Amino acid sequence: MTASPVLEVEHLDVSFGGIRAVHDVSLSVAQGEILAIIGQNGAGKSTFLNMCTGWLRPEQGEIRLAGRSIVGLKPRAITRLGVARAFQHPQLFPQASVIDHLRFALAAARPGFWNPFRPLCSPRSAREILDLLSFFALEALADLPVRAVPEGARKLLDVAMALALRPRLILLDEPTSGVSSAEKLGLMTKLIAALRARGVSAVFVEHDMDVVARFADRVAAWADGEVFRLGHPERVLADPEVKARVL
Amino acid sequence: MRAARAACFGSLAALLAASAALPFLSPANTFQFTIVLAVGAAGVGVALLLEAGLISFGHALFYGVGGYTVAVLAPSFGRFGILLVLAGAAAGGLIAGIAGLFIVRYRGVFFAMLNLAVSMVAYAMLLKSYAITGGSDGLPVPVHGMLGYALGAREFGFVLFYVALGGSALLGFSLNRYRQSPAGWGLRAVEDREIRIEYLGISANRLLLQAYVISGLLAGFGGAVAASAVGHVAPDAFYWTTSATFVVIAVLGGRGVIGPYLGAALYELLSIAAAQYLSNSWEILLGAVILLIIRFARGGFAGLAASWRLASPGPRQQ
Repeated sequence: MTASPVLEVEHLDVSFGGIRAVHDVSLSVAQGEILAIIGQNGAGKSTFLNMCTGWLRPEQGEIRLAGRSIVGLKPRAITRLGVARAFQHPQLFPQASVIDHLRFALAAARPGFWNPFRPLCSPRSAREILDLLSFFALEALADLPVRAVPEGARKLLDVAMALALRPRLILLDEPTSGVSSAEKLGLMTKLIAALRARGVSAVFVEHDMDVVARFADRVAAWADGEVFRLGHPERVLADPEVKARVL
Repeated sequence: MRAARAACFGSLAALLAASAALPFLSPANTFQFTIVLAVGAAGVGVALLLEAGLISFGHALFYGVGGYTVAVLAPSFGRFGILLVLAGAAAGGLIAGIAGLFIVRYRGVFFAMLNLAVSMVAYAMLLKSYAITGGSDGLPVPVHGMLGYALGAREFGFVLFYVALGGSALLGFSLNRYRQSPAGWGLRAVEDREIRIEYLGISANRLLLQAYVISGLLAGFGGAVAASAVGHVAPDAFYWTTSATFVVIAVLGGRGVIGPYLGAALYELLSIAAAQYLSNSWEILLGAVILLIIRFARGGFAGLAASWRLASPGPRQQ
Protein backbone atom coordinates (compact mmCIF):
# COMPACT_ATOMS: atom_id res chain seq x y z
CA MET A 1 0.00 0.00 0.00
CA THR A 2 1.53 3.25 -1.09
CA ALA A 3 -1.51 5.50 -0.63
CA SER A 4 -1.46 8.02 2.23
CA PRO A 5 -2.87 6.66 5.50
CA VAL A 6 -6.50 7.39 6.37
CA LEU A 7 -5.94 6.70 10.04
CA GLU A 8 -2.68 7.20 11.88
CA VAL A 9 -2.32 6.40 15.55
CA GLU A 10 0.88 7.15 17.46
CA HIS A 11 1.86 6.11 20.98
CA LEU A 12 -1.68 5.94 22.26
CA ASP A 13 -2.07 5.54 26.02
CA VAL A 14 -5.06 5.37 28.32
CA SER A 15 -5.64 3.80 31.71
CA PHE A 16 -8.61 3.29 33.98
CA GLY A 17 -7.91 3.57 37.71
CA GLY A 18 -4.24 2.71 37.34
CA ILE A 19 -4.82 -0.18 34.95
CA ARG A 20 -3.40 0.39 31.50
CA ALA A 21 -6.17 -0.36 29.04
CA VAL A 22 -4.19 0.73 25.99
CA HIS A 23 -0.43 1.24 26.09
CA ASP A 24 1.87 2.73 23.47
CA VAL A 25 -0.21 1.66 20.48
CA SER A 26 0.89 2.89 17.09
CA LEU A 27 -0.62 1.79 13.80
CA SER A 28 -1.97 3.15 10.56
CA VAL A 29 -4.65 2.24 8.08
CA ALA A 30 -4.06 3.07 4.43
CA GLN A 31 -6.66 4.23 1.93
CA GLY A 32 -8.83 1.22 1.13
CA GLU A 33 -7.01 -1.04 3.54
CA ILE A 34 -8.83 -3.51 5.76
CA LEU A 35 -7.24 -4.07 9.13
CA ALA A 36 -8.39 -6.79 11.51
CA ILE A 37 -7.92 -6.52 15.25
CA ILE A 38 -7.69 -9.75 17.21
CA GLY A 39 -7.22 -10.38 20.87
CA GLN A 40 -8.94 -11.78 23.91
CA ASN A 41 -11.67 -9.94 25.78
CA GLY A 42 -10.19 -7.11 27.79
CA ALA A 43 -7.20 -6.68 25.51
CA GLY A 44 -8.19 -3.05 24.84
CA LYS A 45 -9.73 -3.44 21.40
CA SER A 46 -13.03 -1.70 22.10
CA THR A 47 -11.25 0.94 24.17
CA PHE A 48 -9.12 1.62 21.11
CA LEU A 49 -12.21 2.07 18.93
CA ASN A 50 -13.71 4.35 21.58
CA MET A 51 -10.66 6.58 21.38
CA CYS A 52 -10.63 6.65 17.60
CA THR A 53 -14.25 7.85 17.61
CA GLY A 54 -13.89 10.44 20.34
CA TRP A 55 -15.93 8.65 22.98
CA LEU A 56 -12.82 8.39 25.13
CA ARG A 57 -9.94 10.84 25.22
CA PRO A 58 -6.46 9.31 25.18
CA GLU A 59 -4.11 10.39 27.97
CA GLN A 60 -1.22 10.46 25.56
CA GLY A 61 -0.63 10.00 21.89
CA GLU A 62 -1.98 11.29 18.63
CA ILE A 63 -4.81 10.16 16.36
CA ARG A 64 -4.91 11.62 12.86
CA LEU A 65 -7.57 11.24 10.23
CA ALA A 66 -6.18 11.93 6.76
CA GLY A 67 -3.43 13.96 8.37
CA ARG A 68 -5.67 15.96 10.70
CA SER A 69 -5.57 15.46 14.47
CA ILE A 70 -8.92 14.35 15.88
CA VAL A 71 -7.96 14.07 19.55
CA GLY A 72 -10.46 16.00 21.64
CA LEU A 73 -13.19 16.08 19.00
CA LYS A 74 -16.65 14.79 19.91
CA PRO A 75 -18.02 11.59 18.33
CA ARG A 76 -20.39 13.53 16.10
CA ALA A 77 -17.60 15.77 14.81
CA ILE A 78 -15.46 12.74 14.01
CA THR A 79 -18.44 11.07 12.35
CA ARG A 80 -18.88 14.18 10.21
CA LEU A 81 -15.24 13.86 9.15
CA GLY A 82 -16.03 10.45 7.67
CA VAL A 83 -15.59 7.87 10.42
CA ALA A 84 -18.57 5.57 10.91
CA ARG A 85 -18.92 2.97 13.60
CA ALA A 86 -20.95 -0.16 14.19
CA PHE A 87 -21.20 -1.46 17.70
CA GLN A 88 -20.55 -4.80 19.36
CA HIS A 89 -24.01 -4.46 20.90
CA PRO A 90 -26.11 -2.76 18.24
CA GLN A 91 -27.24 0.71 19.28
CA LEU A 92 -30.70 1.03 17.78
CA PHE A 93 -34.09 2.56 18.54
CA PRO A 94 -36.25 -0.36 19.69
CA GLN A 95 -39.65 1.13 18.77
CA ALA A 96 -38.77 2.22 15.26
CA SER A 97 -38.85 0.08 12.14
CA VAL A 98 -35.80 -1.30 10.36
CA ILE A 99 -36.39 0.83 7.28
CA ASP A 100 -36.81 4.02 9.30
CA HIS A 101 -33.38 3.45 10.81
CA LEU A 102 -31.88 3.49 7.33
CA ARG A 103 -33.92 6.50 6.30
CA PHE A 104 -32.70 8.36 9.34
CA ALA A 105 -29.06 7.40 8.78
CA LEU A 106 -29.23 8.53 5.16
CA ALA A 107 -30.90 11.79 6.14
CA ALA A 108 -28.23 12.37 8.79
CA ALA A 109 -25.50 12.15 6.17
CA ARG A 110 -27.12 14.62 3.81
CA PRO A 111 -27.76 18.34 3.77
CA GLY A 112 -31.28 19.35 4.69
CA PHE A 113 -31.46 17.20 7.80
CA TRP A 114 -32.68 20.13 9.91
CA ASN A 115 -35.39 21.23 7.48
CA PRO A 116 -38.61 20.59 9.44
CA PHE A 117 -40.67 20.37 6.25
CA ARG A 118 -38.60 17.68 4.56
CA PRO A 119 -40.10 14.22 5.00
CA LEU A 120 -38.02 11.39 6.45
CA CYS A 121 -39.14 9.09 3.65
CA SER A 122 -37.95 11.19 0.77
CA PRO A 123 -38.20 9.57 -2.64
CA ARG A 124 -34.63 10.70 -3.34
CA SER A 125 -33.21 8.07 -1.02
CA ALA A 126 -35.72 5.28 -1.80
CA ARG A 127 -33.39 3.57 -4.28
CA GLU A 128 -30.44 3.63 -1.90
CA ILE A 129 -32.55 2.25 0.96
CA LEU A 130 -33.79 -0.65 -1.17
CA ASP A 131 -30.19 -1.41 -2.14
CA LEU A 132 -29.08 -1.44 1.49
CA LEU A 133 -32.03 -3.59 2.55
CA SER A 134 -31.40 -6.16 -0.15
CA PHE A 135 -27.64 -6.09 0.38
CA PHE A 136 -28.04 -7.07 4.02
CA ALA A 137 -31.04 -9.34 3.29
CA LEU A 138 -33.28 -7.24 5.51
CA GLU A 139 -36.16 -6.69 3.07
CA ALA A 140 -38.53 -9.08 4.81
CA LEU A 141 -37.96 -7.30 8.11
CA ALA A 142 -38.08 -3.76 6.76
CA ASP A 143 -41.35 -2.71 8.40
CA LEU A 144 -40.89 -4.51 11.70
CA PRO A 145 -39.92 -2.61 14.82
CA VAL A 146 -36.35 -3.37 15.73
CA ARG A 147 -37.30 -4.92 19.06
CA ALA A 148 -39.06 -7.67 17.09
CA VAL A 149 -36.17 -8.69 14.83
CA PRO A 150 -33.47 -11.25 15.68
CA GLU A 151 -30.12 -10.19 17.10
CA GLY A 152 -28.22 -11.09 13.92
CA ALA A 153 -30.43 -8.79 11.86
CA ARG A 154 -29.90 -6.00 14.37
CA LYS A 155 -26.15 -6.32 13.98
CA LEU A 156 -26.52 -6.08 10.23
CA LEU A 157 -28.77 -3.06 10.54
CA ASP A 158 -26.17 -1.39 12.75
CA VAL A 159 -23.53 -2.01 10.07
CA ALA A 160 -25.91 -0.87 7.33
CA MET A 161 -26.49 2.42 9.18
CA ALA A 162 -22.75 2.98 9.42
CA LEU A 163 -22.39 2.27 5.71
CA ALA A 164 -25.27 4.60 4.86
CA LEU A 165 -23.17 7.50 6.16
CA ARG A 166 -20.79 6.92 3.23
CA PRO A 167 -17.72 7.01 5.45
CA ARG A 168 -14.10 6.91 4.36
CA LEU A 169 -13.23 4.80 7.40
CA ILE A 170 -15.54 2.32 9.05
CA LEU A 171 -14.93 0.77 12.45
CA LEU A 172 -16.73 -2.52 13.01
CA ASP A 173 -16.80 -4.14 16.42
CA GLU A 174 -17.39 -7.85 15.78
CA PRO A 175 -19.63 -7.25 12.78
CA THR A 176 -20.80 -10.83 12.43
CA SER A 177 -21.13 -12.02 16.01
CA GLY A 178 -24.72 -13.16 16.43
CA VAL A 179 -24.99 -14.01 12.74
CA SER A 180 -25.17 -17.77 12.15
CA SER A 181 -21.87 -19.27 11.02
CA ALA A 182 -23.52 -20.50 7.82
CA GLU A 183 -24.34 -16.93 6.77
CA LYS A 184 -21.23 -15.36 8.18
CA LEU A 185 -18.80 -15.96 5.33
CA GLY A 186 -21.27 -15.03 2.64
CA LEU A 187 -22.12 -11.84 4.41
CA MET A 188 -18.52 -10.85 5.07
CA THR A 189 -17.66 -11.57 1.43
CA LYS A 190 -20.33 -9.13 0.31
CA LEU A 191 -19.51 -6.56 2.95
CA ILE A 192 -15.79 -6.53 2.18
CA ALA A 193 -16.52 -6.39 -1.54
CA ALA A 194 -18.77 -3.39 -0.95
CA LEU A 195 -16.08 -1.66 1.11
CA ARG A 196 -13.46 -2.33 -1.55
CA ALA A 197 -15.74 -1.15 -4.34
CA ARG A 198 -16.26 2.15 -2.52
CA GLY A 199 -12.63 2.47 -1.44
CA VAL A 200 -13.64 2.57 2.20
CA SER A 201 -10.96 1.71 4.74
CA ALA A 202 -12.01 -0.53 7.60
CA VAL A 203 -10.91 -1.64 11.01
CA PHE A 204 -12.76 -4.64 12.33
CA VAL A 205 -12.55 -6.54 15.58
CA GLU A 206 -13.04 -10.25 14.99
CA HIS A 207 -12.81 -13.50 16.94
CA ASP A 208 -13.31 -15.82 13.98
CA MET A 209 -9.82 -16.49 12.56
CA ASP A 210 -11.21 -17.86 9.30
CA VAL A 211 -12.84 -14.53 8.67
CA VAL A 212 -9.63 -12.70 9.59
CA ALA A 213 -7.49 -14.86 7.33
CA ARG A 214 -9.80 -14.43 4.38
CA PHE A 215 -10.66 -10.80 4.48
CA ALA A 216 -8.02 -8.74 6.27
CA ASP A 217 -5.12 -7.06 4.49
CA ARG A 218 -3.27 -6.82 7.77
CA VAL A 219 -3.85 -8.05 11.29
CA ALA A 220 -3.03 -6.40 14.60
CA ALA A 221 -2.74 -8.87 17.47
CA TRP A 222 -3.56 -7.37 20.86
CA ALA A 223 -2.82 -8.49 24.39
CA ASP A 224 -2.82 -6.52 27.64
CA GLY A 225 -3.53 -3.24 25.90
CA GLU A 226 -0.64 -3.51 23.44
CA VAL A 227 -0.26 -4.42 19.81
CA PHE A 228 2.43 -7.09 19.87
CA ARG A 229 2.20 -8.28 16.27
CA LEU A 230 1.16 -6.37 13.17
CA GLY A 231 1.37 -7.66 9.64
CA HIS A 232 0.06 -9.96 6.96
CA PRO A 233 -2.63 -12.37 8.23
CA GLU A 234 -0.75 -15.51 7.23
CA ARG A 235 2.34 -14.52 9.14
CA VAL A 236 0.57 -13.13 12.20
CA LEU A 237 -1.83 -16.04 12.58
CA ALA A 238 1.02 -18.54 12.26
CA ASP A 239 3.13 -16.76 14.88
CA PRO A 240 3.63 -18.94 17.98
CA GLU A 241 3.25 -16.01 20.36
CA VAL A 242 -0.06 -15.02 18.72
CA LYS A 243 -1.22 -18.60 19.05
CA ALA A 244 -0.31 -18.57 22.72
CA ARG A 245 -1.67 -15.15 23.69
CA VAL A 246 -4.70 -14.79 21.39
CA LEU A 247 -5.86 -18.16 20.14
CA MET B 1 -51.68 3.86 2.15
CA ARG B 2 -53.35 6.45 -0.06
CA ALA B 3 -56.80 5.53 1.26
CA ALA B 4 -55.58 5.81 4.85
CA ARG B 5 -54.16 9.21 4.01
CA ALA B 6 -57.38 10.37 2.44
CA ALA B 7 -59.33 9.14 5.48
CA CYS B 8 -56.92 11.00 7.72
CA PHE B 9 -57.31 14.22 5.75
CA GLY B 10 -61.08 13.73 5.70
CA SER B 11 -61.36 13.35 9.44
CA LEU B 12 -59.06 16.33 9.99
CA ALA B 13 -61.17 18.48 7.68
CA ALA B 14 -64.31 17.31 9.49
CA LEU B 15 -62.77 18.14 12.86
CA LEU B 16 -61.75 21.58 11.63
CA ALA B 17 -65.20 22.23 10.16
CA ALA B 18 -66.88 21.10 13.39
CA SER B 19 -64.60 23.42 15.38
CA ALA B 20 -65.35 26.26 13.01
CA ALA B 21 -69.07 25.74 13.55
CA LEU B 22 -68.84 25.93 17.34
CA PRO B 23 -69.33 29.72 17.73
CA PHE B 24 -72.54 29.44 15.65
CA LEU B 25 -73.85 26.51 17.65
CA SER B 26 -73.15 28.18 20.96
CA PRO B 27 -72.25 31.87 20.53
CA ALA B 28 -72.28 32.48 24.27
CA ASN B 29 -69.33 30.11 24.74
CA THR B 30 -67.06 31.56 22.07
CA PHE B 31 -64.73 32.82 24.79
CA GLN B 32 -64.38 29.33 26.28
CA PHE B 33 -63.71 27.83 22.85
CA THR B 34 -60.97 30.40 22.30
CA ILE B 35 -59.39 29.58 25.66
CA VAL B 36 -59.45 25.86 24.76
CA LEU B 37 -57.46 26.67 21.62
CA ALA B 38 -55.04 28.78 23.63
CA VAL B 39 -54.23 26.25 26.36
CA GLY B 40 -54.43 23.47 23.77
CA ALA B 41 -51.61 25.07 21.78
CA ALA B 42 -49.46 25.24 24.92
CA GLY B 43 -50.40 21.62 25.66
CA VAL B 44 -49.24 20.59 22.19
CA GLY B 45 -45.91 22.27 22.94
CA VAL B 46 -45.48 20.33 26.18
CA ALA B 47 -46.60 17.10 24.49
CA LEU B 48 -43.93 17.56 21.81
CA LEU B 49 -41.18 17.48 24.43
CA LEU B 50 -42.83 14.45 26.04
CA GLU B 51 -42.06 12.61 22.80
CA ALA B 52 -38.39 12.92 23.68
CA GLY B 53 -39.17 11.67 27.18
CA LEU B 54 -38.75 15.16 28.65
CA ILE B 55 -41.30 16.88 30.81
CA SER B 56 -41.38 20.63 31.22
CA PHE B 57 -42.80 22.22 34.34
CA GLY B 58 -42.00 25.68 33.05
CA HIS B 59 -43.91 26.34 29.86
CA ALA B 60 -45.90 29.04 31.63
CA LEU B 61 -42.83 31.17 30.90
CA PHE B 62 -43.47 31.11 27.14
CA TYR B 63 -47.21 31.34 27.61
CA GLY B 64 -46.70 34.44 29.75
CA VAL B 65 -44.19 35.93 27.34
CA GLY B 66 -46.74 35.54 24.53
CA GLY B 67 -49.40 37.35 26.54
CA TYR B 68 -47.18 40.18 27.76
CA THR B 69 -45.78 40.69 24.28
CA VAL B 70 -49.25 41.46 22.99
CA ALA B 71 -49.95 43.70 25.99
CA VAL B 72 -46.73 45.68 25.51
CA LEU B 73 -47.00 45.99 21.72
CA ALA B 74 -50.72 46.76 21.51
CA PRO B 75 -50.51 50.47 22.43
CA SER B 76 -47.97 51.20 19.67
CA PHE B 77 -49.01 48.66 17.05
CA GLY B 78 -52.74 48.74 17.68
CA ARG B 79 -53.65 48.65 14.00
CA PHE B 80 -52.45 45.05 13.72
CA GLY B 81 -54.91 44.20 16.46
CA ILE B 82 -55.54 40.50 16.73
CA LEU B 83 -52.64 39.71 14.43
CA LEU B 84 -50.34 40.66 17.31
CA VAL B 85 -50.82 37.06 18.49
CA LEU B 86 -48.21 36.20 15.84
CA ALA B 87 -45.73 38.48 17.60
CA GLY B 88 -46.59 36.69 20.83
CA ALA B 89 -45.81 33.34 19.22
CA ALA B 90 -42.52 34.64 17.85
CA ALA B 91 -41.55 36.02 21.25
CA GLY B 92 -42.32 32.65 22.86
CA GLY B 93 -40.08 30.92 20.34
CA LEU B 94 -37.33 33.51 20.78
CA ILE B 95 -37.26 33.22 24.58
CA ALA B 96 -37.34 29.42 24.26
CA GLY B 97 -34.35 29.64 21.95
CA ILE B 98 -32.38 31.62 24.54
CA ALA B 99 -33.43 29.60 27.60
CA GLY B 100 -33.14 26.38 25.61
CA LEU B 101 -29.44 26.89 24.88
CA PHE B 102 -28.88 26.11 28.54
CA ILE B 103 -31.85 23.88 29.42
CA VAL B 104 -31.56 21.27 26.64
CA ARG B 105 -28.21 20.12 28.00
CA TYR B 106 -30.07 18.37 30.79
CA ARG B 107 -32.28 15.31 30.88
CA GLY B 108 -34.86 13.72 33.11
CA VAL B 109 -35.68 15.34 36.42
CA PHE B 110 -33.03 18.05 35.92
CA PHE B 111 -34.73 19.17 32.72
CA ALA B 112 -38.10 19.31 34.46
CA MET B 113 -36.76 21.24 37.45
CA LEU B 114 -34.68 23.67 35.37
CA ASN B 115 -37.75 24.59 33.38
CA LEU B 116 -39.59 25.20 36.63
CA ALA B 117 -36.70 27.24 38.04
CA VAL B 118 -36.30 29.45 34.97
CA SER B 119 -40.02 30.14 34.75
CA MET B 120 -40.20 31.03 38.46
CA VAL B 121 -37.24 33.38 38.16
CA ALA B 122 -39.06 35.07 35.29
CA TYR B 123 -42.19 35.23 37.45
CA ALA B 124 -40.29 36.96 40.28
CA MET B 125 -38.68 39.43 37.88
CA LEU B 126 -42.05 40.20 36.40
CA LEU B 127 -43.50 41.04 39.80
CA LYS B 128 -40.58 43.34 40.62
CA SER B 129 -40.39 45.31 37.38
CA TYR B 130 -43.56 47.23 38.06
CA ALA B 131 -42.87 50.04 35.60
CA ILE B 132 -42.99 47.74 32.56
CA THR B 133 -45.16 44.86 33.66
CA GLY B 134 -47.56 46.44 36.11
CA GLY B 135 -46.29 44.13 38.85
CA SER B 136 -48.94 41.96 40.44
CA ASP B 137 -51.69 44.03 38.80
CA GLY B 138 -50.62 42.91 35.35
CA LEU B 139 -51.36 44.88 32.21
CA PRO B 140 -54.41 45.61 30.12
CA VAL B 141 -54.34 44.16 26.60
CA PRO B 142 -55.88 46.91 24.48
CA VAL B 143 -56.59 44.84 21.40
CA HIS B 144 -59.98 45.71 19.99
CA GLY B 145 -59.85 45.09 16.29
CA MET B 146 -57.80 43.90 13.39
CA LEU B 147 -55.93 45.73 10.63
CA GLY B 148 -57.56 49.01 11.51
CA TYR B 149 -61.12 47.70 11.75
CA ALA B 150 -62.63 48.37 15.13
CA LEU B 151 -64.80 45.51 16.27
CA GLY B 152 -67.58 45.34 18.83
CA ALA B 153 -67.09 42.99 21.77
CA ARG B 154 -69.13 40.21 20.19
CA GLU B 155 -67.53 40.41 16.75
CA PHE B 156 -64.13 40.70 18.35
CA GLY B 157 -64.69 37.40 20.17
CA PHE B 158 -65.72 35.76 16.92
CA VAL B 159 -62.80 37.04 14.87
CA LEU B 160 -60.31 36.17 17.59
CA PHE B 161 -61.68 32.63 17.72
CA TYR B 162 -61.21 32.18 13.99
CA VAL B 163 -57.73 33.67 14.04
CA ALA B 164 -56.90 31.27 16.87
CA LEU B 165 -58.41 28.36 14.97
CA GLY B 166 -56.61 29.29 11.75
CA GLY B 167 -53.35 29.75 13.64
CA SER B 168 -53.80 26.41 15.40
CA ALA B 169 -54.51 24.67 12.10
CA LEU B 170 -51.46 26.22 10.47
CA LEU B 171 -49.21 25.44 13.43
CA GLY B 172 -50.68 21.96 13.70
CA PHE B 173 -50.07 21.26 10.03
CA SER B 174 -46.50 22.52 10.26
CA LEU B 175 -45.89 20.55 13.42
CA ASN B 176 -47.14 17.42 11.76
CA ARG B 177 -44.70 17.96 8.92
CA TYR B 178 -41.92 18.48 11.44
CA ARG B 179 -42.84 15.27 13.27
CA GLN B 180 -42.40 13.35 10.00
CA SER B 181 -39.08 15.03 9.17
CA PRO B 182 -35.71 13.48 10.02
CA ALA B 183 -35.27 15.88 12.94
CA GLY B 184 -38.73 15.06 14.28
CA TRP B 185 -37.93 11.36 14.06
CA GLY B 186 -34.62 11.95 15.78
CA LEU B 187 -36.42 13.75 18.60
CA ARG B 188 -38.31 10.55 19.46
CA ALA B 189 -35.09 8.57 19.18
CA VAL B 190 -33.27 10.76 21.71
CA GLU B 191 -35.06 9.00 24.53
CA ASP B 192 -34.00 5.56 23.32
CA ARG B 193 -30.38 5.85 22.26
CA GLU B 194 -28.67 9.19 22.36
CA ILE B 195 -25.27 7.64 21.67
CA ARG B 196 -26.42 6.33 18.29
CA ILE B 197 -27.61 9.77 17.26
CA GLU B 198 -24.20 11.24 18.09
CA TYR B 199 -22.55 8.46 16.09
CA LEU B 200 -24.64 9.41 13.09
CA GLY B 201 -23.07 12.85 13.29
CA ILE B 202 -26.13 14.56 14.76
CA SER B 203 -26.19 16.61 17.95
CA ALA B 204 -28.90 15.33 20.30
CA ASN B 205 -28.90 18.67 22.10
CA ARG B 206 -29.56 20.49 18.86
CA LEU B 207 -32.48 18.15 18.12
CA LEU B 208 -33.91 19.06 21.50
CA LEU B 209 -33.25 22.77 21.02
CA GLN B 210 -35.18 22.77 17.76
CA ALA B 211 -38.12 21.04 19.43
CA TYR B 212 -37.85 23.38 22.41
CA VAL B 213 -38.11 26.46 20.22
CA ILE B 214 -41.13 24.99 18.44
CA SER B 215 -42.80 24.18 21.74
CA GLY B 216 -42.03 27.67 23.08
CA LEU B 217 -43.56 29.15 19.94
CA LEU B 218 -46.73 27.12 20.44
CA ALA B 219 -46.99 28.16 24.10
CA GLY B 220 -46.34 31.79 23.15
CA PHE B 221 -49.12 31.63 20.58
CA GLY B 222 -51.47 30.19 23.21
CA GLY B 223 -50.57 32.87 25.74
CA ALA B 224 -51.07 35.64 23.19
CA VAL B 225 -54.50 34.31 22.21
CA ALA B 226 -55.56 33.95 25.85
CA ALA B 227 -54.37 37.46 26.73
CA SER B 228 -56.24 38.94 23.75
CA ALA B 229 -59.38 37.06 24.71
CA VAL B 230 -59.28 38.07 28.37
CA GLY B 231 -58.15 41.64 27.63
CA HIS B 232 -55.70 41.53 30.51
CA VAL B 233 -52.52 39.72 31.50
CA ALA B 234 -51.43 39.00 35.04
CA PRO B 235 -48.31 37.33 36.44
CA ASP B 236 -50.41 34.22 37.12
CA ALA B 237 -49.75 33.36 33.48
CA PHE B 238 -46.11 32.77 34.50
CA TYR B 239 -46.88 30.90 37.70
CA TRP B 240 -45.94 27.23 38.01
CA THR B 241 -49.56 26.13 38.39
CA THR B 242 -50.11 27.31 34.82
CA SER B 243 -47.21 25.09 33.71
CA ALA B 244 -48.76 22.19 35.61
CA THR B 245 -52.03 22.76 33.75
CA PHE B 246 -50.23 22.30 30.43
CA VAL B 247 -48.64 19.09 31.66
CA VAL B 248 -52.06 17.80 32.73
CA ILE B 249 -53.47 18.70 29.30
CA ALA B 250 -50.58 16.97 27.55
CA VAL B 251 -51.15 13.85 29.66
CA LEU B 252 -54.91 13.92 29.02
CA GLY B 253 -54.36 14.49 25.32
CA GLY B 254 -51.34 12.33 24.57
CA ARG B 255 -48.84 12.65 21.77
CA GLY B 256 -49.35 14.47 18.54
CA VAL B 257 -51.21 17.53 17.40
CA ILE B 258 -54.92 16.82 17.92
CA GLY B 259 -54.78 15.01 21.27
CA PRO B 260 -53.72 17.96 23.43
CA TYR B 261 -56.52 20.13 22.01
CA LEU B 262 -59.00 17.45 23.05
CA GLY B 263 -57.23 17.32 26.40
CA ALA B 264 -57.66 21.08 26.72
CA ALA B 265 -61.36 20.79 25.84
CA LEU B 266 -61.86 18.11 28.49
CA TYR B 267 -59.94 20.18 31.03
CA GLU B 268 -62.03 23.25 30.31
CA LEU B 269 -65.24 21.21 30.42
CA LEU B 270 -64.27 19.66 33.74
CA SER B 271 -63.39 23.00 35.26
CA ILE B 272 -66.70 24.55 34.13
CA ALA B 273 -68.77 21.60 35.29
CA ALA B 274 -66.91 21.41 38.57
CA ALA B 275 -67.25 25.12 39.16
CA GLN B 276 -71.00 24.62 39.08
CA TYR B 277 -71.30 21.47 41.12
CA LEU B 278 -68.15 21.13 43.20
CA SER B 279 -67.19 24.80 43.54
CA ASN B 280 -64.02 24.84 45.63
CA SER B 281 -62.98 21.23 45.34
CA TRP B 282 -62.88 20.72 41.60
CA GLU B 283 -59.35 19.36 41.81
CA ILE B 284 -60.91 16.15 43.16
CA LEU B 285 -62.71 15.66 39.86
CA LEU B 286 -59.60 16.52 37.86
CA GLY B 287 -57.48 14.16 39.94
CA ALA B 288 -59.96 11.34 39.42
CA VAL B 289 -59.93 11.84 35.65
CA ILE B 290 -56.13 11.87 35.56
CA LEU B 291 -56.05 8.65 37.57
CA LEU B 292 -58.44 7.04 35.09
CA ILE B 293 -56.34 8.18 32.13
CA ILE B 294 -53.13 6.88 33.65
CA ARG B 295 -54.73 3.58 34.63
CA PHE B 296 -56.68 2.86 31.46
CA ALA B 297 -55.36 5.07 28.67
CA ARG B 298 -51.68 5.79 29.11
CA GLY B 299 -51.44 7.46 25.73
CA GLY B 300 -54.27 9.92 26.47
CA PHE B 301 -56.74 10.73 23.70
CA ALA B 302 -54.13 10.22 21.02
CA GLY B 303 -53.31 6.78 22.39
CA LEU B 304 -57.00 5.83 22.47
CA ALA B 305 -57.47 6.95 18.88
CA ALA B 306 -54.41 4.96 17.81
CA SER B 307 -55.64 1.80 19.51
CA TRP B 308 -59.00 2.13 17.75
CA ARG B 309 -57.28 2.13 14.41
CA LEU B 310 -56.33 -1.25 12.98
CA ALA B 311 -53.35 -2.27 15.04
CA SER B 312 -50.32 -2.61 12.83
CA PRO B 313 -46.91 -3.75 14.09
CA GLY B 314 -45.38 -0.55 12.78
CA PRO B 315 -43.10 1.76 14.64
CA ARG B 316 -44.18 4.44 17.02
CA GLN B 317 -44.28 7.03 14.29
CA GLN B 318 -47.25 6.76 11.93
